[in-house]
Amino acid sequence: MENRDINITTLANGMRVVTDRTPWVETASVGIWVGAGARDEEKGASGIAHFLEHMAFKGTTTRSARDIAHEIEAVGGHLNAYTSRESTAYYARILKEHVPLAMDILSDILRNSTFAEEELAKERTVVLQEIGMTEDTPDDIVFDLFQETAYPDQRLGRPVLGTTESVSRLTRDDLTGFIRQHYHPGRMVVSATGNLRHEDICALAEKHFGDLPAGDPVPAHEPACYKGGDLRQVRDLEQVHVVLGFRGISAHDPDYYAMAVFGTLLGGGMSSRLFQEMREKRGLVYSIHSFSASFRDDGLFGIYAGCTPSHVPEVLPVICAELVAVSSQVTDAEIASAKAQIKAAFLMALESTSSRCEQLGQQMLVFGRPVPLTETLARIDAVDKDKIHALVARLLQSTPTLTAIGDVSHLEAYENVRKQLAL
Amino acid sequence: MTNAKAPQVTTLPNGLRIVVDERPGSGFVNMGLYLMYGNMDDPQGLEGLSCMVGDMLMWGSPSYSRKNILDFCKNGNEIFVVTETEHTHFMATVFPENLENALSIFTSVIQNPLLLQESLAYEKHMAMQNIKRSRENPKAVLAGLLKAIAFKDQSVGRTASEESISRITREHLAAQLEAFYVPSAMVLAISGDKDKESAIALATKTLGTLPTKAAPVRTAPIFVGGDSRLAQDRSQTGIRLAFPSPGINDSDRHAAIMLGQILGGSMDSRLFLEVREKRGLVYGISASNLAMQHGGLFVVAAGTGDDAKAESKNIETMIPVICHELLDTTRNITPEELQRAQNSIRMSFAQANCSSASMCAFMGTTTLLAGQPRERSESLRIYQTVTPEDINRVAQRIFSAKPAFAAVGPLEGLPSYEEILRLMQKEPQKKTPDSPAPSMAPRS
Repeated sequence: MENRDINITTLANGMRVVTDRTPWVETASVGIWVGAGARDEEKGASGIAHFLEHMAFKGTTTRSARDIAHEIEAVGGHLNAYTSRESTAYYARILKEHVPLAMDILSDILRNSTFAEEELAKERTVVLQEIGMTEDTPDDIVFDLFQETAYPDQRLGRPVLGTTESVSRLTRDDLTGFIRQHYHPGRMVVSATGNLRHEDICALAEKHFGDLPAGDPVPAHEPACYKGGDLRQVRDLEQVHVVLGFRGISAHDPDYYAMAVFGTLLGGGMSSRLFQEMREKRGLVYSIHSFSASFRDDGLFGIYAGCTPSHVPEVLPVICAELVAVSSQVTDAEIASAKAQIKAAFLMALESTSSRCEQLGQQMLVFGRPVPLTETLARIDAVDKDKIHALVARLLQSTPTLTAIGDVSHLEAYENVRKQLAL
Repeated sequence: MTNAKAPQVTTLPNGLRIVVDERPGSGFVNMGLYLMYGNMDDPQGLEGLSCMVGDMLMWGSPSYSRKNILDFCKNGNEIFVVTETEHTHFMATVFPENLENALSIFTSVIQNPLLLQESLAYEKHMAMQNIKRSRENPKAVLAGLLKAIAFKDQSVGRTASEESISRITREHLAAQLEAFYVPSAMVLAISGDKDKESAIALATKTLGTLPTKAAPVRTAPIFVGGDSRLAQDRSQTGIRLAFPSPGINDSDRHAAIMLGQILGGSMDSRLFLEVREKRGLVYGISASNLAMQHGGLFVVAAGTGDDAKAESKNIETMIPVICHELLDTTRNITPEELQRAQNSIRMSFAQANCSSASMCAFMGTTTLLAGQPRERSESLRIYQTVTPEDINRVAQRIFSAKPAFAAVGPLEGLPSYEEILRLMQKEPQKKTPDSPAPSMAPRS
């Protein structure tokens, strides 16, 4: 089942190289995962990590923005990037013979970007368009509000894209300063999967990143301080979007795997409790699912529901009743079902070199090692009823975070929600 | 892990066609039952019926209750149904030992569905919630406006509404099942950890028992074109500009797909470079050819908004740039662009070959809509033979038609449809490396 051929090497400057060889495919995925994201932004500079990710494609000392896109796409490759709260990833998908080109371009955009003022001005408008697009998407907005309410006035609570005001203020010096401060080899991982050899990737990493200086120590992270609370926005929408959540668990928490099982059985699919109770049985919602986000020192667990205004009064009481029930009445059959679903998802993800590459890059950043599939499955298998019950009790002890947008006039009062969740 | 052999079709006595892609050792199987029955087959006034039929089948049969089906999904298996414009597909992702059970469920619900009134009431309620949800989504609103204007007064152009959903009865469902759920209009595609002989034996034992019937004949939709705009209070104006284009059986389809790639398929595409990179007008812009059974749609999609302090409207700037770039492809395609499109397609094929879900969809849809499974290596060979002149000719064919234009959001500054038609008639200048960008000013 493992079906992975994983090797790790650490360069002298601390940069880690991890590969997973899949010789039966014609393609490869290669990327640089950086342990810096929106959470590393100073107050007032919200959106800088994401803006930097955009600007990395806008020209280097030897390549114009056009050259960057042109060179990788001329060989059929695809170059992209994403920013999250604790990491930023730059990656390429290419035919196996073009891995050296991909590494050359990835290192160039990370090390030699010029951030020309003209490009900065143009890309700022692109990012503002992206923010505008998000503002037209209610189920994106409600999640940003949720994060902000869970972690008010904190780095972890700010939107990854930043705001129109903060992005409008960002300068070239902000970008170069952010790189200098956070893009250190000790916080970077080269991850590569596909039809390739580990020693070749190591040689390329050494060539392109071997002389990258270790950099100054990274400033201490602002510790996450979960608060919770209630935030509702009235908007003229067809639906009401509701997120109810709690303080979750960090990526290093012993309950990490119990959370995966719990999330699946509570709101992970058509057979989950919430889907069955709220959609199948009562027809209250069109969409409902649970989610969890684990950061390095804290986490969030939540439930999203989208419903018509007429169903709003019932939504939160039913969710609360399910949460209270699940704190003491999980069955062995439910747990077995959730485990089987997680196992199937892992197996399917192995088909894709991109999934393998991303998983490795993230695991190296978060856990400092690739977690073998057999270990993951064994830990999933070890989850039992007691662990789930204890986890739910722990979640419900925290102050709830409740956010909603739409016609919220008949949404259950926050204090009532708290009362209904009292164990 | 992947199978290099081209998929072969096995036809059962009742007319069901089966294509199998063996992937020993993958640990699971992707299976899709593709049926020539979709939104375009909905009678006028009953829009949403095809989707309702598919959803209602998932409520089970006397042999497999809804609970049985959900319990099956609890064990790591997944079953769902999707209804699209041209086809419905019943999908299953299962552990290999559960393939027979999945096939039995599909066979049973098609042969003997419960179609209970209470289930219908529930599904109608859900469909209405989904319609409300779609109205919040600018992309869904645009898709509805575009198809309504592209295929005016035809079933393929209509979208389900609360009214059409409320009219659906159990009798309508039964009649559609009788007419459209026939094995000769079905393709079973299987990709994964199951050998071909076993897969065919299981299909014979299950779907092979469906009674033989003649498949209904469809009328080909006719592209009409025109203009449709909906003013809404949103941050961005979303637009779609669409033209009739080569379908899945048209020999120009390869060139049309490459045209989409060159115009708006990547970061190095013309529209991305001109509209986003050079002018910063959008976050996303794309062009692509949607090849359907009786023809295609070549669609340009973009969205832009303005800073409150902006003196000019981005949308006013963007439309002439898009039109200029479309027209330019009727004369200018560089060898580098051609090569890039060919390599991109080669890469996407190589990636798709790794995915059993992708292979399943490819085998199922090509066999259903094109009449036979297409071999990717043969398709790749054809892409390699396309020339810049082929793409010029196909661009000329596509962009000489009267387009369909749809817009949602703030409409101020949006050029009129007549202006767009005029922009699409302008003869482009021969492009040179130093040629200036097209004028920003709206043309009168």
